[in-house]
Amino acid sequence: MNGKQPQSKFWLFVIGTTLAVLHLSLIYRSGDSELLTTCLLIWVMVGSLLREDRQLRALSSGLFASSIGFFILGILIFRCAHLPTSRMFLHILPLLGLLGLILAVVGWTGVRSYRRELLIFLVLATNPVLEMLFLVGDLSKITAIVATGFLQFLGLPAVQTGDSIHLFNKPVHVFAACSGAQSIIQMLNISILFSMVFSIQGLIKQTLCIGIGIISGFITNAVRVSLMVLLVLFSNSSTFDYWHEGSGSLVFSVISVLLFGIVSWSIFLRVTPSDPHSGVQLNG
Amino acid sequence: MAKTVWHRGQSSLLSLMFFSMLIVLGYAILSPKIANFSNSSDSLRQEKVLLDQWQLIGGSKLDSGSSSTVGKDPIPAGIRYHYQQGNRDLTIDLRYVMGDGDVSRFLSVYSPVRTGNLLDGQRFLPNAGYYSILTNKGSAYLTACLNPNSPSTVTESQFRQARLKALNPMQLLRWIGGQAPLFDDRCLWTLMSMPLPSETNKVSAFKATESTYQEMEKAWVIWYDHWKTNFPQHEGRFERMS
Repeated sequence: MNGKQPQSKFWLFVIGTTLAVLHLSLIYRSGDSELLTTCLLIWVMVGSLLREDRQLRALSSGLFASSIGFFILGILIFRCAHLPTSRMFLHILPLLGLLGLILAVVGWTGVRSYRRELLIFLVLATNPVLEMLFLVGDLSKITAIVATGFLQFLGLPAVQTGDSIHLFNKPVHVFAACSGAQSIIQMLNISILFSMVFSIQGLIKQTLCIGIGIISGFITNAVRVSLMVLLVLFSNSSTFDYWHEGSGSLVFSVISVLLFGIVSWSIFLRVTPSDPHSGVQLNG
Repeated sequence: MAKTVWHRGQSSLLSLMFFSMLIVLGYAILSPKIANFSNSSDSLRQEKVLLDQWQLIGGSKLDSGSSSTVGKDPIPAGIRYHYQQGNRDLTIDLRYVMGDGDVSRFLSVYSPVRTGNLLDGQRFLPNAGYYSILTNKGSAYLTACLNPNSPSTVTESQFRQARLKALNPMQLLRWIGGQAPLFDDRCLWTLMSMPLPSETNKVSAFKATESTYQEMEKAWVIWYDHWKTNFPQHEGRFERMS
């Protein structure tokens, strides 16, 4: 019986890794470089979470759970064989893949044991829906208001109407891609990843963590929009292109993550020497 | 006894899954990357669209090409229709655009019209959906996105809402089977333009603009009707960013 002990872990590792590489390859093929970096980060973190030691019996899955797991995996592999590039599918793939794998190898109890990893992928899977919901709302307008506020703070005569910012009477329209929806959703992924990896306990703390992430994403995006307004009015198009679409736009994602990281680290992860019970439990 | 048989079966199935995944992975790595933007804009056939009192005098292809302004988006290809009524000319540009249905962005990036804010001129007709009219550099324009199975839209928000409302179980099933996208993001972007007669008097200029708008609106209703029943079907496999 002991010889079978490592089997569950073996299969989880082997198929899990293949799933990760397959997922990332499909994303690479689809050309979505932002999704690629996000998922690369997520897979690395989930990989480290999965490696944590869990009491596993050997291939303990029951017939029913296994069948469902294999069924899900089967459909997924079949669908992947068509090399899909659909955004919705690429977001759902890791969730279904991991779920199918866990059911096939460990069974229903696995869903509870691996709920952190599954939650991270669940959030990833809902990204496209969240983006759609944001676009139905008025986020562009709110971003325009805040960005106008920044410009006014700098002493510039900026006025906001609807989705547009008027600076020196020239209008600049805040299109949906700049509305902040992408930044906020990105930060949502990262803050949930963060709270899972660093085992932040308690609903209040977790909500706070996610809130910090969202605000960080929104503010960084609003600052970026203000910068874009200045660039589009006062500089040439190649500078604008660099910051708007090129590597320059990644700078703001990095800033947003750093901002979130610094604030969250100081709130959640610093353990003060006088209170040994504060801070965080790292044994999951 | 049964347990070990099942375990062996499980192991075999897991091996099967693993190897099939490896094969698919190899296929994914070795296959050439496909171009992102589908070429269905080339397949917009030149249909004869007749508008009541306007005489169709010609149509020409609008080529796709790279936009000279912001970004690297190529201009989607389309068709330009020329109509005439007496001494008045009406031009309608029809382009097949995928994505977000943001008409003000289309205007800024794909056309000589540079105003971004369409909300002032936005109107709604129950039998024609949302559309927007505006004046720019001596011409009057009417523009909107014609959607499959929904009234026309102008803003991205309206477009997205229409996509959500258009969901139905059949579509979901076809999406799961890989035959259709979850949201049909196609938009037949229409840009109607009529040159405004130059008037010196402010009052007559205003009247001329208003009557031009009315002419365009009448044409729009008929245009909308035609495409509502004749919206092009999805051809073939659609794999793209959905």
